Amino acid sequence: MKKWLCRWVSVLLIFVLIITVTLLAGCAENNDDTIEITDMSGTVVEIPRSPKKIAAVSPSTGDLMIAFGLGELLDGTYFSTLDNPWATEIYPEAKNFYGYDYDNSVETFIMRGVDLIFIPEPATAQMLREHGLNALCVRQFAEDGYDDYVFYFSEMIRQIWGGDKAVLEKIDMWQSDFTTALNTVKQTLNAHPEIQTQTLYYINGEKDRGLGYTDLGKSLLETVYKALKIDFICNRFESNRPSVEAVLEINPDLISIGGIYQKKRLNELCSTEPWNQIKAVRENKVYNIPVGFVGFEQTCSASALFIYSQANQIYPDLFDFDLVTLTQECLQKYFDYTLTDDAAQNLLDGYFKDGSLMIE
Amino acid sequence: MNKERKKTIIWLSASVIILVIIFFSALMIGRYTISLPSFFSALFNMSSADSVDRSVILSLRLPRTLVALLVGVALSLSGLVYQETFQNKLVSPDFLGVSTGAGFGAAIAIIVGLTGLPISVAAFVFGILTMLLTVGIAKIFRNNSPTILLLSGIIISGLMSAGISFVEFMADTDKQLGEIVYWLLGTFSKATMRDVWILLPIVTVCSLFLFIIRWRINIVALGRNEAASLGLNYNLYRNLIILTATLLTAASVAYSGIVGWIGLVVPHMARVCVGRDARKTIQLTILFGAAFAIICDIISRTFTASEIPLSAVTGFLGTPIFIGILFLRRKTIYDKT
Repeated sequence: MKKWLCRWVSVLLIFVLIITVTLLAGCAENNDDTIEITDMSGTVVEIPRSPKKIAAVSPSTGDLMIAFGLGELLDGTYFSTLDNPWATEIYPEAKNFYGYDYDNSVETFIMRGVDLIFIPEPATAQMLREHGLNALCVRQFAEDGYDDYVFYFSEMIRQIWGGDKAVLEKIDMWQSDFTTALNTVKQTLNAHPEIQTQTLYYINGEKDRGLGYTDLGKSLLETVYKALKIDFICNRFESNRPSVEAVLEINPDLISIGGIYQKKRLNELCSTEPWNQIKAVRENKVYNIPVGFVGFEQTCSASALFIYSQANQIYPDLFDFDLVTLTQECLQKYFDYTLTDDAAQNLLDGYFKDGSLMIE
Repeated sequence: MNKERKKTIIWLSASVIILVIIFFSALMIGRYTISLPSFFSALFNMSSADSVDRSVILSLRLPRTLVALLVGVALSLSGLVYQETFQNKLVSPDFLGVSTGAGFGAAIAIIVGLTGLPISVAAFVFGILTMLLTVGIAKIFRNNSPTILLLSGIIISGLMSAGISFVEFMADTDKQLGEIVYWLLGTFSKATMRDVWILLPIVTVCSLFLFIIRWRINIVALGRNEAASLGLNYNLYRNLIILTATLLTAASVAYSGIVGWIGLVVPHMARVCVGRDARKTIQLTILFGAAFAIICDIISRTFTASEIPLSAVTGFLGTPIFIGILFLRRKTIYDKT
């Protein structure tokens, strides 16, 4: 009787062992298909390796995905990116992009069948994850300053699509372009200790929200302007909608205007009292920020050009970068788009390729 | 001169002086600092004044202070006459749905892409239409009681709130939703001298009319039977008063967005000073309303880089004042007056 029982127990144990080993093997195989990524909110998220359909719910992530050669994986990007005529001109496939919004429902993402979502709001990313979607938070600012986060998204892409050599080459090239640009202007300015720090107010013309719509700092803007020895005053405001009196109180030396509405904002700035009494306006020190697939001031393929363009405009005696050529090279390299000299100049001046306004 | 009349004159004189001080303070105080000599130089000595100071005072602060003054007068006055007409001290200009109707009109205007003056026009028209709808609903019940009209106002107000929610849901989150919300919270930040020239005749004519019929307001406040016994055409005057108050409310909401508390609190402040007699409270309500709105505007634009919504300021200011009034009047609660 005992022998009979021992035999059965042995058979059962072997059976359990086989099942356990099989399951563990299966799990190990699954682990090979996933990868752990720490997103910009500090959350560790397990996502599939090399996902095939991506929702890049911000202009910046959409631009960089295309620039790194992953455009064909994009299902869509932030909807207002497509309001910019340069976006579909530079990358015609963008016409087929789905226009995502920050508050799209879970069902929208499920319906689109996306494998991975890049979204700026940590709470939304968490909510999407709780509903079984792969979502990573990618923001345009960092609480402790953006200097160490400029390459964060590109490093995320390196981890996710690390098997693709072409992608890795593009990432290295982009990081090198940015570092070179930043170091070049820093070195030149460091060689001129007599340069006084100037204050700058930034007008965000990406959306049609008037002159009192800005960026709160801890972003690429602050990182770049800091390198340019500029005091970015917008980080002193409590919200990104400062009143004209709050701006006048500081009375900035310089003003920069970005986004597709930049010409409308510039006209408004020069014709509206008391905005036109600001020192920067009176001394004609209002500079534009060019717009390509997205505004250059965002973390994007043209971030290095943002540094060069601002350096040229703020310190014309010190810098004379050939921006037309640099812009042509950038768009050719990252978007395979050929730009004529005239169109490049129009882009740099804040117009569409034929010199018309980007948006009425 | 009897004691009551003397008291009223003192209150009126003090209020006028305080309003003038608050008005000029509003031109001087703000996020952007202007020294006293620069302020007087900008106002009276144009040629030597700093152009920034002059621009801030004349182009920015003067129009919004004037609009604040007019809106304060309009809302507090309409609050007073609504409270008297409906014999209910908790009624405010929002009760007939005028404010929410105007808000619904503005939200629709924003969502269809209108900007500037057309938004104010849409708000004004919808405010009036909402009041007509409220009166129409009340008529269905074939009952002329003020309570029925108030209940109709609550019903229509709820409907308009639902409409606003739906328009917010439909709005482009990036371009329109923020603007709708900002508008609904109330602000004087977009005020220009053009707005002053539009609001001024409406507020002046309506205020003058209510001032002229002020003793009739007292009779209407007694109720239908008492008014009839005194030989007053109750329905005519009640409707005229409601129409005038509605015009005042719609016009002010059209230019400032929905601003709560002023219409509720200010009439009570006036009653604490001079009693319930509309012949005295009207003048004081006008002065207090103007001063209250200007103070709220100063607070909304001075302490933070971004403007604090007016509704938040009026709420924070109005609540302790209202509690204070209730405390002061806890023994009488208006019954004696």
